[in-house]
Amino acid sequence: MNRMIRPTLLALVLWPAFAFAQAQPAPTRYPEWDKLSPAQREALVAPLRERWNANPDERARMVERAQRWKSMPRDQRDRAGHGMQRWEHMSPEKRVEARALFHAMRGMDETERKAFLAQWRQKNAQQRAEWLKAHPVPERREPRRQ
Amino acid sequence: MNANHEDRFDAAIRAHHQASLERLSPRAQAQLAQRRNTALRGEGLRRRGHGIRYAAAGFAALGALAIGLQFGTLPTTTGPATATATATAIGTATASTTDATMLDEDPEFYAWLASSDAQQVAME
Repeated sequence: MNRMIRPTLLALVLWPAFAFAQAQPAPTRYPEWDKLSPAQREALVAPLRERWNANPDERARMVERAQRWKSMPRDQRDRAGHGMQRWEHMSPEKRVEARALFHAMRGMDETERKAFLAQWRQKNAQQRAEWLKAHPVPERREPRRQ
Repeated sequence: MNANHEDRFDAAIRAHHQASLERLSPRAQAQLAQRRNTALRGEGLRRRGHGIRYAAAGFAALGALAIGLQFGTLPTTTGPATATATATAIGTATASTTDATMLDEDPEFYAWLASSDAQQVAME
């Protein structure tokens, strides 16, 4: 009997420790790009390559945006990252609205912007829809091909 | 002289002990025999050894806990198979959306989306 009790007790004593070790998610740290394996690089680049191949008309814009991302100051790039996360969670309708508002406000000074925002907040859904219809997002400017 | 006296005393005591044993019941004799055998096998020592065994189990538990904590906090160096699987997961879960989304719109537009102006128009 003792021969059965002792291993059982030992297992019960050790079980929480092993369970705790299993429950801890191991944070994964990755090395610099140059030290990634070819498979890792491939996995990271694949979505971009797929987007590139599927949209030949967008390639020049993609290159231009990539260069602008690269030239952005760090704090602005961080803000853009947060905005991008917000963008990913927006509905298609809200995306259209956001684009239109951005293009409408980007040329305004601070006073004009405040007045516009005050007017926008007072609009109801129908008035906003009418405004969006009257102020569509301008056609995208095709950047100079390189 | 003294030695003869001690031998006689010893012999007399042994005789009394033997006579006492003979007067014991068979059940009492069996119990005494069992206890003697138990003592000769060292059962008492083994009982005292339980404390040491429990202490060893405690140390083992602490060791296992320490190892568990170390595995939980150490950065993992991913092996080829794990790294590939994880990279694939990154490729499908994160990079497929974020990395490609980066080039969908102007970065200035994304920065504006994070501004207070954009939050005021409540686009969510």
